Amino acid sequence: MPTCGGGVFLPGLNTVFPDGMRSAPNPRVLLLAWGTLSLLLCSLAGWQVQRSLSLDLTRQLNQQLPDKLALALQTRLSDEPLRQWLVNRLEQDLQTLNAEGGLPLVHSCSARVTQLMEDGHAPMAGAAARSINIAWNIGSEPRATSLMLECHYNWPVLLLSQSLLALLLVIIASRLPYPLSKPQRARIARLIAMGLPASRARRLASQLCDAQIAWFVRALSLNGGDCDAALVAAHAQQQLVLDTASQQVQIHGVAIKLAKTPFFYYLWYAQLRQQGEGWLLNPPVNRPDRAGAESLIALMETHGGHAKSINDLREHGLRAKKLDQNRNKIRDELVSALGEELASAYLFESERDLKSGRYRYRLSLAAGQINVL
Amino acid sequence: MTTPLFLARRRIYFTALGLLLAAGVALCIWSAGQRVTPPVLGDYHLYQCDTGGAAGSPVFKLQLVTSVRAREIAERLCAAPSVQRIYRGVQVSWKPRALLTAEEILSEEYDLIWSRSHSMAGLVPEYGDYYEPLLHYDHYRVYWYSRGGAPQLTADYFHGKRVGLLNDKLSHTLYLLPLASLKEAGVNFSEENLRYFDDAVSLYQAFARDELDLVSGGDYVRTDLDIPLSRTLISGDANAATLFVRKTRAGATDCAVAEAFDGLADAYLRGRRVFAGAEHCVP
Repeated sequence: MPTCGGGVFLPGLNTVFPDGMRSAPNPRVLLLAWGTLSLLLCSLAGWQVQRSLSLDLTRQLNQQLPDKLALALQTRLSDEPLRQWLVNRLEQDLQTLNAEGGLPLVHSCSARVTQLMEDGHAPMAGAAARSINIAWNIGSEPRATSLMLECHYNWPVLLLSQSLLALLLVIIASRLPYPLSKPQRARIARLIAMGLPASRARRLASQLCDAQIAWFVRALSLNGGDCDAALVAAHAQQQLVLDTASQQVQIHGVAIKLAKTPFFYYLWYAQLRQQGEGWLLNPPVNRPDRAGAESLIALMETHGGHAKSINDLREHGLRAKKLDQNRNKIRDELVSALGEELASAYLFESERDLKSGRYRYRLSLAAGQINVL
Repeated sequence: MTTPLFLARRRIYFTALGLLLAAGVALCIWSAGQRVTPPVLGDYHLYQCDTGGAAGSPVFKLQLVTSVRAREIAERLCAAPSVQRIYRGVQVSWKPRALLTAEEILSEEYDLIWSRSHSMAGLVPEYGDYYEPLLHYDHYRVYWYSRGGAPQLTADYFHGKRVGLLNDKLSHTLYLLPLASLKEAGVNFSEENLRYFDDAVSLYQAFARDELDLVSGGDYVRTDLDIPLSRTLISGDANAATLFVRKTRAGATDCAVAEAFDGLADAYLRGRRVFAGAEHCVP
């Protein structure tokens, strides 16, 4: 007999999700994520190449350039041809800058002079990643020189390395356990508390809705751990099946054994409901209903009811007390098996008859939800 | 293997995604970091041209006090046939004259030095053993400059004025002549507001910013500063400069060198050739 630990599945019921917790990642979403991330990382790497080179070049130039510029430019206040010549010389010296790093992302760089000599120290805030600012002095007068770095990227290496990194990230991200909602986690916890293995619990929690879980849990505790039968109950219709041969009721796929006499009363009410409105007015206390008892007696005789009950009905007729007793027995049995909540739909509803002032009763279920075998 | 239930929370999932992205970004930034091979920078106070002379021949070196026209002078020398015969190149330097050292005079580092005799003597008293004058520049006019009315050479005028001087006791224009002018006007140095600067550029910039009332200088001040100024002559016959050349030079280039500097002797400098044989130069 298949049990919950065994992991035997009913065909057609648990085929949706491979591992029950994650819908398979959409390849188009993954492709889009990969493309976006590649683009992002490429820009980031490009920016970092310029930033790191600018910083390093700034550091290198800070060691040499201030002295050299001060030496060249301090003899006169203004000498425009000299400045032009110096700009050309400096740009010539910075024409071919070779970069070295973990990845050969750059063929070569060059630096362009944007401002050879400016009074005061140029503000550094908001500077682009590739701008280089050198502060120096003529005597005590601060001066600033600005350069701009221009690099030729090694595009194949840049694109390949960053798209590979992006691919790695997307693969890892797709392997992350997908998050579950709070109710979903509560359902899983409930199933695990029932003794189900965690993987099975997750699978079921993703397949069943809350109401179905309730039925599954109830059926499992009633049938002594038969998971497959419980699953059938969970997926079953809202239906009451009365089996006259075995004198058993099946509620929502869950089999419940009733004592003989209450079973026949339940069957009688069910048949009344199937035939029409299904209301049965309780007879007055001092005047039992002899005619009404006939159909119940016939039902009991046909299907082997207790002789004692049949005799009682013949002698005293249908009494309100007996009706109340048996409805209460049915109610107690169902509630003890299914719990108040699940059982309520399968119990009786009542209303006061205005003419007689007495109560009348019927099954709450619709006629189509009742099946008598 | 299923992950524990508490890991399936949304918050943990998005935290993990965030951490993954952060790790990716960190890896990207770390791997993209580059270093630049140290650039080789030239000396920007030097200019050298080739004469096309023999490869093993020496280079004619000049030390000038200003970058103005320095490269033009070098080019002229490079183009002169007499220089081409002896030198393979001409190199001109315009580093600040304060950086000229006694060692450079003694080792005759430069073939030509633009200086003044008192500056040379200040470094090496017997400099005359190594260098002799080629050209004198006199009739150099030095003025007091003021942003207001024309300066008057009286103690009353100078009283309370902020006067800028160069902290270089060998400087004619910015130290010796203005101090002499103040003394002649009867100014008591210790009572007046004399401010000293380490370099001429800082001095003139302070003047331009109205932090000084008076500075001294040649005609160049008016063109360099480009602000309305009044001036009063301090000296109309100052010795602006002397070009010193090595005594052991090849004399054949003297005429070419003097000609190369001709352009420099414009409106406010008069060059006087003082070397032997100057009268034989082809005009």
